[in-house]
Amino acid sequence: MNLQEVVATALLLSGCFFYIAGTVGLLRFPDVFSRLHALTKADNLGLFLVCGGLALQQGSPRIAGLLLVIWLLGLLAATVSCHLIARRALQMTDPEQRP
Amino acid sequence: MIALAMDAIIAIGLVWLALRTVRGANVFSAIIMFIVFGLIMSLAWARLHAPDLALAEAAIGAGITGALLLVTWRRLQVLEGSVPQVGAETRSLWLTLPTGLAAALLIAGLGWVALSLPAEPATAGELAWQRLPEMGVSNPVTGVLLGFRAYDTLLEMGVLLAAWLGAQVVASEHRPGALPGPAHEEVPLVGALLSLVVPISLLVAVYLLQAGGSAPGGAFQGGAVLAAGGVLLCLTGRLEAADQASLIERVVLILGLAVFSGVGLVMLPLGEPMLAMPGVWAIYLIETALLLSIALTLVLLFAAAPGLRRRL
Amino acid sequence: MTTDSATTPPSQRIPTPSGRARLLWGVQCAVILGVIWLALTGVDALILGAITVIAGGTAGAWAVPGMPYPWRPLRLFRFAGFFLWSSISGGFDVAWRALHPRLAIDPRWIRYRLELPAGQPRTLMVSILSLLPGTLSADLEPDNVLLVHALMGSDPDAVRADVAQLEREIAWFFSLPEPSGDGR
Repeated sequence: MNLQEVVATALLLSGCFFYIAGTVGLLRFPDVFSRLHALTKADNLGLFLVCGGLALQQGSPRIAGLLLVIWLLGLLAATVSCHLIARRALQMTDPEQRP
Repeated sequence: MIALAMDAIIAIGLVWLALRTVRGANVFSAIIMFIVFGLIMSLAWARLHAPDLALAEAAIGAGITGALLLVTWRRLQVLEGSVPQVGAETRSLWLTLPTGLAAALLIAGLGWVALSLPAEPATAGELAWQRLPEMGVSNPVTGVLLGFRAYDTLLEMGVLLAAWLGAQVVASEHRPGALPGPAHEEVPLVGALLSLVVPISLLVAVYLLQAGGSAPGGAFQGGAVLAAGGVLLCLTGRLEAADQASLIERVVLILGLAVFSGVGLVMLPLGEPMLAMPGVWAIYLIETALLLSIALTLVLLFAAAPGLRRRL
Repeated sequence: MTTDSATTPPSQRIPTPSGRARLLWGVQCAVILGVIWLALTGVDALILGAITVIAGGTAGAWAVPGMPYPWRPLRLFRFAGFFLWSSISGGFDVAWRALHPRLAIDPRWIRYRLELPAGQPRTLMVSILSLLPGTLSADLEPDNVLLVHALMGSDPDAVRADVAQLEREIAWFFSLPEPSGDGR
């Protein structure tokens, strides 16, 4: 196990850690909007670390570039879904409790 | 050791998800459990070294089927005016327990029989593996789907067309109508999403088609991804249901079946059997036609319409 | 279910951008797709790649919602750096709050008036805000007011300062006039 593999494994494990943290936030936070915070941000960072770890494992710049595109697409999907869910949750709240 | 633990988690997870799907508290949670089941299933296929199946399961089983189930749930809500309820049959223990036990015994029995069969020295799979270079493709799945067992794939396209025709027969009596929701309203971010995702889905679909010859991929996976782009356009109100299929749509719907049959008949006058491929170009031609047909059929099934048109 | 398009307010109709906007975005799309295709398949499948790039560019031009804004390639580096740093700190921040034994959150709503023009700048603002630490863009109300959900809203001015910083960075990236950062 050379240094590259060790760092790659560390990145993969820390990516998994952030996914777990996001799930813990999903379970613990009180309302829809706080849970969206947890899911969007923690999963985003988790995906970044997993892609980084995989890119380091492969060691090829071409693969690293493609993994970057995958991360950006995942980000796009996450942030748009987050906004749409937040809008829908706002529409479904009672008029008295609306901010 | 770690691999065994992961496989055990996937297997137990699959059984638990299946249980939650069948005995869901409400229809919506059952649908979500089904979608997650499809995703974990694609992980299982990947662990079984079947990446083509994993791709197909993720794209079609979890993605398109999940979207179809969700839009049906929404349409039922609008049609009946209330949230769809879980049937009483799945709650009755007298029905579910014996059925579950019988299914488990069947699977166990089949598995025991299959594992205790003596290994054949010259199976069809072995022969196909040896004769794969004749097909001109190096991906064995594509070689089997479009070469050795092309007949099955041809009939699958027929089944897909028949499914769409059947949906039209039913829909002509109970036309679901437009997708509920403020489709005419412009939600922020949606326009930007579409302007990026629709071209990307096209790229991924064509790449899966091109890669299918030598790597996991193929027409079905590519068609599902392209259909996903189309489903997105329907959901965001860029495309809406039309009353009639246009000429282009009719041509594309039968394109897969027609091109496949045509290429299959081309070699007959030369004394070759039907569906003998004239060359690798034939496989790519057929796969392109299949991609377009599959994508359009899936989008039309989602929209529950004979055709689509741009929303004015 | 048809709706009379004459009664729908202009900001809410399906956008119909100009031909020039479509061409600009179609070309940008084609370039992006071409680069990705080359990274995927190399130079083996150039014909299929050409077809994909043309079809993808056309699809992008068909789906584009408005005029793409000009941006200078050199400014991308600083913006990308800011974006990366914010994403990482956002992930760390929310993970720390989620795992904290006493759940260190204080959810509040904050309204911020945007000074960015409609189109790519505003879209980027709304989407990237959800990735920054502690903020989530929930809705864009009439008159360009952004409804922000703050995870730690006990200090609203600090949250406003974060939103203002993103607004400044985006305005700089698109070479737009610097916003006042006031948000009221």
